[in-house]
Amino acid sequence: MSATSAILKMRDVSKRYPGTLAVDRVNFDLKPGEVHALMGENGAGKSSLMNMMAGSFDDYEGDILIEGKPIQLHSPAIAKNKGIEMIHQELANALPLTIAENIFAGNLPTKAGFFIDKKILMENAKTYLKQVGLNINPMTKIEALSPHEQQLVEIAKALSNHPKILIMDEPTSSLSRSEVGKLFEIIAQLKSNGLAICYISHHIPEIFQVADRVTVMRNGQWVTTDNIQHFTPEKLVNNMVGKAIGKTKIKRQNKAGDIAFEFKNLSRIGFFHHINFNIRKGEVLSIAGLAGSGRSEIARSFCGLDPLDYGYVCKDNKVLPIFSYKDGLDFGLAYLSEDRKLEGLALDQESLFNAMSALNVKERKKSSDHERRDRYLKLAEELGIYPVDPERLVNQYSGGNQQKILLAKWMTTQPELLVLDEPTRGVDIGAKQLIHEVIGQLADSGMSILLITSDLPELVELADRVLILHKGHIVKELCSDFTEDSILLAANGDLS
Amino acid sequence: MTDNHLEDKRAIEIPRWKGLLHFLGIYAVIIVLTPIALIVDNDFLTFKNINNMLTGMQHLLIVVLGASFITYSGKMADLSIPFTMVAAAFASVFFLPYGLLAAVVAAIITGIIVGGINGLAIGHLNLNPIIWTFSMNYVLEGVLRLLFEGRQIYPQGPSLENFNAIANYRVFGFIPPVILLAIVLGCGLHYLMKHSRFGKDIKLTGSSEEVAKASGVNVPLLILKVFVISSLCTALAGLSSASSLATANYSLGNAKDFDAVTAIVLGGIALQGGKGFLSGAIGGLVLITMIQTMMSAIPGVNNYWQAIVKGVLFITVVAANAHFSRKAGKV
Repeated sequence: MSATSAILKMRDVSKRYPGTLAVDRVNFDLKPGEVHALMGENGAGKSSLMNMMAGSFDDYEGDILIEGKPIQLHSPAIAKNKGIEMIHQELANALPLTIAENIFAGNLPTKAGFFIDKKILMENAKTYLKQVGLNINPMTKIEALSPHEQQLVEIAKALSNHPKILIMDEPTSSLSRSEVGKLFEIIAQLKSNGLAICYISHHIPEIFQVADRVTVMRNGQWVTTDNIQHFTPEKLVNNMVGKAIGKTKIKRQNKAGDIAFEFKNLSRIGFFHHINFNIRKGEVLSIAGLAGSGRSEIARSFCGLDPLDYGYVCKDNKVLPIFSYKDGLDFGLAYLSEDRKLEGLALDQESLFNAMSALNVKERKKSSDHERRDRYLKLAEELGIYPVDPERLVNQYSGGNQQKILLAKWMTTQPELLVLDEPTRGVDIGAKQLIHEVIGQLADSGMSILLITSDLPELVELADRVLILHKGHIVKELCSDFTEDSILLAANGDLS
Repeated sequence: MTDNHLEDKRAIEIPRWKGLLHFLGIYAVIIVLTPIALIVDNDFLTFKNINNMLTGMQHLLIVVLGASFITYSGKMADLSIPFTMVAAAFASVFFLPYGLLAAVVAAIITGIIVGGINGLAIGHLNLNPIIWTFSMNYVLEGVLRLLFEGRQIYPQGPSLENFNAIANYRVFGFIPPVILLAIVLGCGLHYLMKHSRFGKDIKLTGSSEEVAKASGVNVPLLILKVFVISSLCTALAGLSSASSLATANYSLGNAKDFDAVTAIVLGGIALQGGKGFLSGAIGGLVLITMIQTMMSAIPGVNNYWQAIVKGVLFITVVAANAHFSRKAGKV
């Protein structure tokens, strides 16, 4: 190994959640003056490992050594004390406060032990802001800053604690290209000061710009660690995805029907631009892209849930006048939200009520409570909702059953196009399998399905055709013979 | 399979007496309290006393029927109830010289206007219902005092007798017409709340506005309708108050907002929205009226004690509700 010894060593660490092993005997080390990238698909265990480093868990197994000394990293306070700082993906700044107040929150310099010493506060703030290349008055309010500047303040805040290790979680997800460049300059500067940086990102091109070493995880396990020079994008993707084992396509009749809907020139400024595509009856079309590429936004907009700046939806060569989500429902569109708890289900209400709530909005004449009940019982059996108790409150069900109730809610409206946004997020394996089968059956019955998912195996298993979305534009269409590898490469802006 | 196993453990058999209690709700308390009331006041169940109680609660009953929709929709309470009542009372008395119908129509239009403004502000502009209606109450008071130069007005004209009869006539010699109206209105509104599409949409909105929007409900329009329904009922209560007082004054709606929301919450329509029944709210009102009657029958108990008891009751119910729903993981 190299001459410098590691500042942080994790040996055979594991983290267990009820039912799953999120991190499975992983070895990881960080050296001063390096950027070590942590890569993996969704659910690979990156976040858990990172949170473990930041002291979020008090029940991990295995050993963690800092500067050669074993340490029980059981609380964020201990981690901070040992010089570990984390920059979260979601900015955690207190908006109405000034930059200086944010940087020194909880640690403000005082005069006579009570009054805030503004002069020292200003000077101290300026030194840390300089380190991140920000030349702004520290008395500026955070809410007046751009996301990029807010993030730099967050880094300055971390630096004010004189860390030895900096963990960065998807730091570029809300930045423009030039801002990414600036951030990388700052990272290079910090690196030359001897800071050890653990860098997590989905964006493969970035890794080749910023990282010195890469560790790849898959299904909670360590796959490989090597210098970046020994990787190519293809090799990295291969390591992340792994060998496809036993992933077969869902059995389908696969009779592609006529074009059901056409989407023309859809644009919502700042989210997606000039989106053109069509979907056939009985087809499972998938929009693939990295988080933040505008996948959900497209569907939300054309259904009428969110505003649409330009473009329209056509059916039988006629433009559909969709001005509200109710209109969208009336024209046979339906959108299953990715956020089950916020937008999907009324958690403190009965399962029957929830399953019928969308139908209640759509149907012209109210079906009787008796009819609704029968309908629900039939659906519950079909979907395997357990226990089948129409009066049971949704929050008394497990995640898998809740997701099935959500699916039932939209199946009752009998849409012509059903948008499924992350239909199996947070769902156990059995429920997932069943939901996949139901999706296949729905498509066979002639329904068009638009599938939006971050779960690549799921995508490959279900989709007939894939549109690749990159930064709000459709950059590629994969009609057949697509694999997890080819999708992941394309979604990263085609590196081959 | 492990998933279903977990479910089994959480499915707890509910004992029969608990089921009965759940069914009776607030009426269980009323049943328990009745013998106590008889001990305190031997005349409690006499025809005259019951009639007095009905007469005493008749206006508030109409208010509660409408205001329940606001609480059910998750918008908590309408604090502009007092001066919506006053405004409707003034409007009806002012237009009484043109006939009884003119008076009734004036009250109804007043209700629609006030409810419409409240509903637009809270539904379309998404303003806080408590703050908005709180302010609305003061604006209404100011407008009315300006228009009528701070004076109260008295009903007059050829329809005076009919107007007085609204509150004072007794059907079959003992039933106040307002109570009859409340029964008809209550049945209609119960159907609307529990069995219509509109009612199911209110329940969804009350439970979660986000989910309602993402299910295709036009939430602003729904809130507008809810506030119009409530203010319409409030306006009718204002009309009947004016009739029973034979005057339109500025204090006839005093504390009706608080009394209404206490009855509603006591009756099991939770402040979080989407829960409870209209019949519960009516039970809540009956309970409050019972307590008031009991207290006034105890010698030496000052009327001011009633205010204290009502306030404490309200806080207790809201706190208990919040506590138990948090315990059940619903908040």
